[in-house]
Amino acid sequence: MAIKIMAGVGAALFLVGILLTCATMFFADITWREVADVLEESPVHMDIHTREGGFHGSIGLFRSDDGPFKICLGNIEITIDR
Amino acid sequence: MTQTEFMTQLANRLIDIPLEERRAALDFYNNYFQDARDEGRSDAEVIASLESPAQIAARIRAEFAFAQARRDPANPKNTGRVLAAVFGILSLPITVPAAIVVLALGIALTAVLLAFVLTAVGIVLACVGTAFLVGLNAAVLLVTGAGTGAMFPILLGMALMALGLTVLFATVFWLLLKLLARVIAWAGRGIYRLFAGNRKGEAK
Repeated sequence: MAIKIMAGVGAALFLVGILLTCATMFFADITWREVADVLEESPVHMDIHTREGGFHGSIGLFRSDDGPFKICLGNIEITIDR
Repeated sequence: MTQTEFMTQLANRLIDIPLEERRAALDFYNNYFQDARDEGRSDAEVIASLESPAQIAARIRAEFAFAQARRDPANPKNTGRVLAAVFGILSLPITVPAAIVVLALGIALTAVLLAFVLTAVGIVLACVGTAFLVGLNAAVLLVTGAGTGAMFPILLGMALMALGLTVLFATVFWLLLKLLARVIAWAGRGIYRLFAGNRKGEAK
């Protein structure tokens, strides 16, 4: 039963997502190229590297006055430029 | 070796199986000794006619593993027990070529299982990462107001698609893992029967 619920939830999310994306693109006359350009120019960057001191199992949010906003999930660092 | 020493060794080697199963096995061998004594055979003769306690324990653990895997094949603990039973054949008296074949088959089954689990975890994590990053981009667009107004619902839709794929992949991989566990249990039982079945230490 749990498997059926999971499959149903997954399929519903996927269908809602694809309908939302395609319908918006169709009515707003936006191409995939334009979506890709927006993502490329996005200030959000994902940088996977070993943080200082080797493996980190922690999760944290860092924000300095002059630097970018950083989200750290273990060794994965997501940077949002300001 | 006396019966007490034999039974003590056997009991010590069955410490990792449930008490009920262990008691049943020990009762069986105690009765076996008693019956043999009634027939006029000495303990030494009975012990000589049996396999060593280590070998008998390996067989009992293997039979227990296969029974558990048949009852609950989706339990990863049972799949581990089946693989341990396959490698446990190496502790039994078999020829060197047979041992090499058993070792190769055991490693192959373990490798298939590990490869499947790592692939599944990798794909699910990739989907989660995509959903998270696209969702984050959508949130940043919403806050900064960059791009056209229609870009937010497009990115939100893409994040939902990735999230839906994560749940779908997780479901499919869970079902496939259960199927793989059944196949490993079936293959492990086959390997065991082929290389270690029908020995003098088993129930008569």
